[in-house]
Amino acid sequence: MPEPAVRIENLWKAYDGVQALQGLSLAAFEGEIVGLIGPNGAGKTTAIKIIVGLLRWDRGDVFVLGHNVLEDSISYKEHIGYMPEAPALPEYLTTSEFLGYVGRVRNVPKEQLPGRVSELLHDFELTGKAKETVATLSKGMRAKLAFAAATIHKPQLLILDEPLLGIDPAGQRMLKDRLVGMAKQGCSILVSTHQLDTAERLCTKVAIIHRGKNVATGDLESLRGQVHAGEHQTLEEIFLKLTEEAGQPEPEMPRRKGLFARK
Amino acid sequence: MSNVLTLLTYKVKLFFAPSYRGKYGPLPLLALMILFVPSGAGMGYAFGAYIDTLGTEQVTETLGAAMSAMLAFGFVFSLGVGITAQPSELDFLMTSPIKSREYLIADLLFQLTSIMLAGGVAMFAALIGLLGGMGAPMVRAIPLALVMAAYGLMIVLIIQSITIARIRYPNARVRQLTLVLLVLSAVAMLPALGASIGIDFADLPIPQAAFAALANSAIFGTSSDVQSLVVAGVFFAAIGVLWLKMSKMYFFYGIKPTLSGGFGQVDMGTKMAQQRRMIGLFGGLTDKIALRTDVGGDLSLMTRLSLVRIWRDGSIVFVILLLGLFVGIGLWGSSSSEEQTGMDYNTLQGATWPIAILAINWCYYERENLWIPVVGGRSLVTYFRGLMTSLVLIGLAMSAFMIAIRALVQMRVDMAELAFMMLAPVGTSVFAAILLTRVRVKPGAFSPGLLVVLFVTFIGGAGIAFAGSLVVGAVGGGSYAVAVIQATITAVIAISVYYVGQLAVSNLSRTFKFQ
Repeated sequence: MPEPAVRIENLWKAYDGVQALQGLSLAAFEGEIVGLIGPNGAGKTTAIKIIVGLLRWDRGDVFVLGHNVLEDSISYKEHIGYMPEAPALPEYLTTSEFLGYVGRVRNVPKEQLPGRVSELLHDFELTGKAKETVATLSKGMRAKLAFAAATIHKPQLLILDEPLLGIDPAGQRMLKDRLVGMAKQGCSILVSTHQLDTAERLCTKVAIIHRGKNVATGDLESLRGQVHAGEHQTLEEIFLKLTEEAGQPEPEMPRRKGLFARK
Repeated sequence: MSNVLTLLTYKVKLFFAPSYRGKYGPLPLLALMILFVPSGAGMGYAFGAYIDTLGTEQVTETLGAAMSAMLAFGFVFSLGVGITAQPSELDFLMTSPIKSREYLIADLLFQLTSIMLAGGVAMFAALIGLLGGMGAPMVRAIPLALVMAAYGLMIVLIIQSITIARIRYPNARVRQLTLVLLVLSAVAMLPALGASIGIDFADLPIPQAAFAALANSAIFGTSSDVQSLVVAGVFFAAIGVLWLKMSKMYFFYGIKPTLSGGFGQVDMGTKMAQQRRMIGLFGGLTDKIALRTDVGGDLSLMTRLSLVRIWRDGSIVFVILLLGLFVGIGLWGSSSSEEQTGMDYNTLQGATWPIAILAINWCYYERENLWIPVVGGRSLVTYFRGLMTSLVLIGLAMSAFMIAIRALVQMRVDMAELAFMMLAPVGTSVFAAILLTRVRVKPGAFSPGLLVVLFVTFIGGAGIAFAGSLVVGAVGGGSYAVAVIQATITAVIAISVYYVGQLAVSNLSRTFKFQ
């Protein structure tokens, strides 16, 4: 059995006493495109932020590309790419400067950097915007730029949080084709999305997250089997059935503390 | 008009809610209101005592300058946002079937309400203080308050009318006309500042002069002259008629969200939108300097990245404006005083506050972008070292400019003074970078982080500058050889402070918490 690119075991994380993750376990292997789907507040973004090193967790184990993230929280990042949901981008840089900056941070050799930047700008139809600042880009162009930045160093593991938001159909198609191509070359991809039809067609495996737990994992066939669904049932129907079975979301706890806390 | 109260309530709640829903409830707001009462009363008393020493004409002139300043502020406001609207108002209220005039009245009442709630107590204290300083009966506060309220109302009507005209008639050069009026208002302040230009503004039929004369009558308890009453009345009526006409027009599509997210708060979404606007505004000029990512070492890259940001996002404009302000005040002070004070407060402010402002801007504009090096597997050591270096470079450039101006004016440079001016920005930058690795500034005037960054950087920079200049001054002076020794000592201290700062920043940034 090969070592998974990402392995999460019994992960727990709370914010101000509210449990965001409650024993989440997950694995993604080389060449897989794993879709993380779940209702709002299920814990998808929390899990992703833990994997990329932006959040500390309370309990559990996280292994990325064979590294225990708790023990070695830096070196594994050289091989991962990350595209956050609604990414904060340095508005003042031009698109080519931004990609160059990320390339430097991602240890792309200096001599290869101009060529790689040009290649990505061309691939994502941003060549005409090479000398324009990020501030002038449309929402879709910003998403494409963030995607390009996430892949500039040809990562072994690509983690995407709602990557298709705000991108036009042609752009979505291009990104999906690119993801499939990268997976074929051995890149593992973890993608959080609310677009269930996309997840159904794009992902080789889907993990349904609900209330901070993984309630089901597998390809569409195995998910159908887990819920005893017919062969024509869609991922959307399976998702709704699984999340309804798991119950309604718990009411949100008041987060404010102090003298004048909301009652 | 049925929606006015609903709109007003929404605006007031939106504006004040953040300030009383904090950890300590309404206490900070109350504290702020009370905090300004003594200073309001004190300033009013001092102004009253000053007025008491002047003749009637000079009082009218002084009041006219204050009225002109208020009008100029109104023109500045109408060139910017003009009508206050939070982002949520644009999304939900302005897409509802409410009439333009309803919204304008609600906004007008909101502006008056917010001014009264935020500063009303202090303003009343200032008014009482002013009359107390003059030894005048307190009952005169009533007519004076009425004159000021009428003038304030007229200014708000002007602001709203200009804003609507700007939106509805984009080709009518409303902006240019407003700029002209702004300049004229500023010129009308000059005589009170001691710069006579041969025009007696008090005799001109302009609103600020007329209202100043009315305020003068209210303060001294004399009867108002007919000419001032007529001029003030005509202007008020004309602007009222203009407003009645303009307020029927639909203008919601041209409103830009206000920067403030509430009393003492800043909406980050709006702040980012403002940054985008600034980048767009300066784009043609600022993109002439490019960031080469394929050359130089990591420290060089991060330093250049920080410099490019400050250059392109408009932060440099604030630096230049602040520096110009302090240099201008310094020059004015030195021209009006026989004494040449080198290490004065203005110099210190010019060498420190711009750096502190840059540090605050970094928190607002750049901190969120740190996810890029964080997930890139880079420690933030080089990033923060580059940030500190960029602040030092900008600070030294500012100081070099101030030294050049001082040398031109005084035709000499004192070495202790030079040491002071070179060490202040270095020390300030070091403290700023150290604090940025630890302090998180929440967007708001009540943010302890913001106050810490502002004042600790200032005090830290001042401390290093004073200590360094004392050392340099203790060497003596007079000869060329001593000056060389003093310059060497200054350079050694500056480099030492820089390197100690780099060490401290390196250590602290290793444990920087991004989220």
